[in-house]
Amino acid sequence: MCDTCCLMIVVNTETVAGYRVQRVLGLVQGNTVRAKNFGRDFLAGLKNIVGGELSEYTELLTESRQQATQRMLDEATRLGANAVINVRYSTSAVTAGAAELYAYGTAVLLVPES
Amino acid sequence: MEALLGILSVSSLLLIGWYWGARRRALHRESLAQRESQLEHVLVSSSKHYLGSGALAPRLVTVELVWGLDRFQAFLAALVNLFGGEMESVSEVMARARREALVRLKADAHAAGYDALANLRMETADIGNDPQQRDLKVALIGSATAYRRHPAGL
Repeated sequence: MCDTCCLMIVVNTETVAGYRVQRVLGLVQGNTVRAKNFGRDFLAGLKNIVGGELSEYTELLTESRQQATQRMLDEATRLGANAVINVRYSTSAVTAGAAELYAYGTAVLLVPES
Repeated sequence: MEALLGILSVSSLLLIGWYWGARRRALHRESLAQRESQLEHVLVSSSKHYLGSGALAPRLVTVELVWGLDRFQAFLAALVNLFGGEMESVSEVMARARREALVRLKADAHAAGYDALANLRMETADIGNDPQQRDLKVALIGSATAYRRHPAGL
């Protein structure tokens, strides 16, 4: 997804096997609100007649998640963290046709367990 | 005349939905069963604590999925909505969409060299449904931590 993700350990568990939390740096978060565009809406509407995956909307969610995660990781990098633990995602519909994706976690400094 | 045309177009959409929807469902079930058996070795847990081997740094894996109900199933659901009771067509689609999401998570983990998923979280996402739209769809977001299994188990 990005350079920082390869260097940073990101997990949704509280502990990381093989590592010990040395210091907790605090909450990091990122969000994004995206709207569906007309073209995608139209295509998805057609697909909806026969059912199945509506990949236009799936992609929209994927992009939103990547963006929100990236913002969260940028914040973690600024704090000098090398990992984000206990990552959670949540969504909310802001208006009809637009949705927010919110990512949050705890930035920490991990050291390998000896 | 106009009313007749209206009825014709609605019923032809229902027919298309009924025929193609059923075909696509059967194909999807088949592909799911195949991928599930291929990825059987990937252990899944919703537990927050696990015994990872630490050989490979754990990593977050995520999945997003938006799945639609075909017109015919949506029609069945609307009928149930009149009288109450279980919307079986919707239950089935939601269950199948979750299976698909889980298989994708497992496949991601497997491709990156992991053999287990801990702290699986799967929830429906709010993507701002248009209230005027008759199409039914379900959006899922899921996440888990992928890790290499410890010889002692989870």
